[in-house]
Amino acid sequence: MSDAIQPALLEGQEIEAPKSLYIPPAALRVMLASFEGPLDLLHYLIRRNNMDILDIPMVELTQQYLEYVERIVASELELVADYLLMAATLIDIKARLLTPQPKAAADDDEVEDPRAALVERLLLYSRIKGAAAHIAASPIQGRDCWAAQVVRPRMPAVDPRISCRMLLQAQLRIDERAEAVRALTLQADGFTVREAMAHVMAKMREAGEWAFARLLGARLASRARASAVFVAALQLAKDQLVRIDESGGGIVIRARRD
Amino acid sequence: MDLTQVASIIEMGLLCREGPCPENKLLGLFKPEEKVTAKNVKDALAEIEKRWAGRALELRKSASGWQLRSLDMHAERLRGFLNAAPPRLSRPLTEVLAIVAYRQPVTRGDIESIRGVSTSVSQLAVLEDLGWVEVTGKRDTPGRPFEYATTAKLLDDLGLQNLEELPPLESFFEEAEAAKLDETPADGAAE
Repeated sequence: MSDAIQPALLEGQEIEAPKSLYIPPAALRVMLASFEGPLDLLHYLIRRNNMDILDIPMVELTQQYLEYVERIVASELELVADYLLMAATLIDIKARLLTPQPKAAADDDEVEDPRAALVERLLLYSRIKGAAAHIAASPIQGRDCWAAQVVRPRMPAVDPRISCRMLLQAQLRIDERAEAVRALTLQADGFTVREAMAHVMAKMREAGEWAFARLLGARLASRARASAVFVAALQLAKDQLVRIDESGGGIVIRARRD
Repeated sequence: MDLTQVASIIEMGLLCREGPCPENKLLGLFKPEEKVTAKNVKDALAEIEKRWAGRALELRKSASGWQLRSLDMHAERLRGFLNAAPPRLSRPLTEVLAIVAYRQPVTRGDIESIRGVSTSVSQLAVLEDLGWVEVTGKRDTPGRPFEYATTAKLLDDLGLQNLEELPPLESFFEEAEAAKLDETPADGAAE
């Protein structure tokens, strides 16, 4: 196991790639889902090989990346861009490492390691991963602990002056109302509007003209009958069989001759 | 009014009130003539903390104030008992949260460049729904992107008083390095 842990790159000079850096395509397919992106993969590859984060072996990593890109082109197009960008960055860094530095800028402070920016990002990302793991492992309210609190049921406001006597009175009122409702129960008395219309026409034949009030009058036993006759009269007027006029003393209903 | 009485009344207030209670609000439990001071309240809180020591609730101060809450060592049994479905915190979600927490205010672009992945919309939406992250403004750069920051609710839910209580970001890499150092002797011993 520790055979694999050796520097893969010594200041631009390539050494044989450690076996564990290369992930077989079949395994890569499985791993695809477990990475959050190119930085995550880079982070993993470096940790897996116990490599110095400050001395990244570019060639192997880039190869691994391009392999990775080929795999995901088919499935997740969005991620490919991220991986391609990372692969391009790695190649760019490699190219600049291979290009001789202008000797004029011999001043050490001036020579910037092309890997610096990537290392910086990787370092930050690695710390963020640590912080994320820390937060995920912390006790979180609603997941690992709960606020202790007395539950106060929401009660409707109650009039405090209420007494037994008032309750009794209220009960009596309810009983009374129930009684009234019972008395109101309607019963069909079998007197239809059609019958009432026949009744009105019979009256018309009896005498050509009636005071409307008399037609609804005393001989009609119930309110229901009176209503039926009233509706019948209106219906007949609508059908142009009778005329209802208001004249001097009151409303008069007449048979129409024409 | 002696300390025990003040502590009992504050305990009652904390248990019956909804949500964490700031210290100055606790003074509202007392009439002016009872002459209870901010110092008395502080002492009473210490007294309450002592009262609950060794029991299954603890007095905790977070960003919004004081609250009695269950010990997280009992998380599992209480979760089952309360039938509570815990929020699932995925790796991308906690990474985005960590970035907002440590680098705020941040834009979507900041988050995506740190993670090296151009997707963070759904994570931000979930974090906003949880009330842990909110838009605090717009950055004065082209496109005027939203800036996100963490909320007091996040601190309350984590039981923290402020962000400074989170371990410094630099400490995390050291931990990773320390873990790696720990592995090395084990490897050596195997040979």
